[in-house]
Amino acid sequence: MKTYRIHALVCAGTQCLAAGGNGFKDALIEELKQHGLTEEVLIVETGCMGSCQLGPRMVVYPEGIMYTKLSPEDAKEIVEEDFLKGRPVKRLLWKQDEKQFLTLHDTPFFAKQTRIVLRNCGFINPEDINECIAQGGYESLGKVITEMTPKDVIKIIKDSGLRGRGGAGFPTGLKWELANKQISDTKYIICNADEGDPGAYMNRSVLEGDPHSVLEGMAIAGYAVESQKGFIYIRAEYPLAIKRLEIAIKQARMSGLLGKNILGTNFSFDIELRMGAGAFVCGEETALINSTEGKRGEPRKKPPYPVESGLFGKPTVINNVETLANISVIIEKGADFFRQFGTEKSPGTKAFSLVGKVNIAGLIEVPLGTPLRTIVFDIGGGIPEGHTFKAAQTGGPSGGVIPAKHLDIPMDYENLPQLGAIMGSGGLIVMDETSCMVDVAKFFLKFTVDESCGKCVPCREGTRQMLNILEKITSGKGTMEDLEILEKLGNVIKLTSLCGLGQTAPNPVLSTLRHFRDEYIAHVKDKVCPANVCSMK
Amino acid sequence: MEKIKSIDELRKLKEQSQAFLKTRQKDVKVKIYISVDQEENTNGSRDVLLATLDELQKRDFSDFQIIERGPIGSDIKEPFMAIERDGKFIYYSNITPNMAREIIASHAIKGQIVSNWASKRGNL
Repeated sequence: MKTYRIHALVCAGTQCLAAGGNGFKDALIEELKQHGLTEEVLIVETGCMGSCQLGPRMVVYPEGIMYTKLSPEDAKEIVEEDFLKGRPVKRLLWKQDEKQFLTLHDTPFFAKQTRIVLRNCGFINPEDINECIAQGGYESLGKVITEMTPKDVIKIIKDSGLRGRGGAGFPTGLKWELANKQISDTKYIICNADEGDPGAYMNRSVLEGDPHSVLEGMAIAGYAVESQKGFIYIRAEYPLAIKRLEIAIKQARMSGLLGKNILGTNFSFDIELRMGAGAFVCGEETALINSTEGKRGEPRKKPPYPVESGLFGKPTVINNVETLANISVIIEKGADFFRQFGTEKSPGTKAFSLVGKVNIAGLIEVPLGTPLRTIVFDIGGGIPEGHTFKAAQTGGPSGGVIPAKHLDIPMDYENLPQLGAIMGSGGLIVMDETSCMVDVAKFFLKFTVDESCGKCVPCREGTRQMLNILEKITSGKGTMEDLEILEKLGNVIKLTSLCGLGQTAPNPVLSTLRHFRDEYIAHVKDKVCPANVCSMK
Repeated sequence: MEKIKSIDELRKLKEQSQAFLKTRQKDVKVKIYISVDQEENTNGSRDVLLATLDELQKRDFSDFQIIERGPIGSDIKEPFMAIERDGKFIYYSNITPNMAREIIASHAIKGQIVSNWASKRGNL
């Protein structure tokens, strides 16, 4: 086997590529050629490494030296100093609070994280199944299909307390059990990769960085519920994730880890991709099923639930990308291991895309129940340029805001709803005092108005009416009565909409009204936008 | 890419694949520290490094990491090599590419210190 003394891991996640990562990689390849180092240094393109704001990034092993904000011009110095002389290029290291950090593990960004879902992201080449297998990939699937019954699998997932990471937090083991009990010749597993919240990219990063973890989770789910066929519903706006998934599926099939008689057993399972056109509503499971069937992406009424009658009328389990990425770890290390992290009712970890007004934005993973303050200030490094924290939005257009006085709230499925926010899929947008909360609510509502499928009246007409009122308020023409109408209307839409999109669409408005009512009143009574965002007429 | 036909085959492939990832892992059996050539004048360190890599490759040994080191004091002359194995740290001072091959073959891979060439100095 060919061995290399240096592995240069270049982040090839969408964030770093957008920041110019390819240019750096090409320059690095050229420098290696010029210095005759191509036989000694291996360039590995990985998925997202996390601190996206500091990209393009590279980590150089064996010492794990981490370089940030790389440009093509830096390649020569890194090759001559680090690769040839073993001297880290200090000016390219991670700098924070006047300190320099040599490796990722030294940084405060990393110190408070726990990586289960992102265990391989940024560490392996996602386009090489052998690197995944080296990290224990597919061993859990092997164990499940050779040593366990479907009921054993369901029991361990139930015992782990894993809850759906798509947002609603439904217990995964219970969902599998319900599907297992259905009597049908055909059952389906669907992976929901239709991540649509503005600013959220956790699922995309998992698929780009460790696609096999999701394929393995799906195959295990297939065994547990006695299904032989899975679909990944992924939005076409994720071309890199799609490409890596296609490669992963192909390699898994060639290795006999997907397809007929996996690892020589009687269990067969295969996976196909279905590309969505990017409608937000298709993240809702019944709309997703319609779209997968080739129909218009409109939600169906429930019951019947997908586990009873889903894709093509057959029992169907729909799990989120992150949920599935947890499965093989739970099988490998046990339910008790998983329960070490998180809280009693929300065990495990959660990936967040920490974006907005924080010093170090990026992809993170923390134990559930981690206080918001830890995420924003310890991991995210606080608010830039001397500004102050005003609020954080969780759950995107379906979620709500958490104001500064609740910074110590544990981020889990129990505590967030008490503030009118939701866990959501993991988008976390940090705002400082320059954001107007009425404008923020308007932004999210405009998003849902655009994305409403129009099937039911409360969502189609109601959200439009709410948006009209918000536009009135932000242009200085609102009345105090409007605030009451907003609340009434919002509550009716929540109660009467057909699907999750409408049922949660008023949340950004209702939660800002709850926590920042003064700001609404200033717009209405004083005709002033305290954050100087809205232009009053 | 061949079909993996059983869980035992999968575990075997895992072991083989792990060998390839040793450079990225925290724990390896052998850490090899090698001096580097300086700016203007080469001291022969690069030739030692290349011989080391070649010997490791020839003997199909992958449980190692190579770490480059600058000058560390007048008692250890360049080119030097240090082997960290079984919790022990041994220096070899002023070596040639052929000595490097011998040190790799007997000390790094088999764990037998080449006492004739080993320096008295302890930790790095």
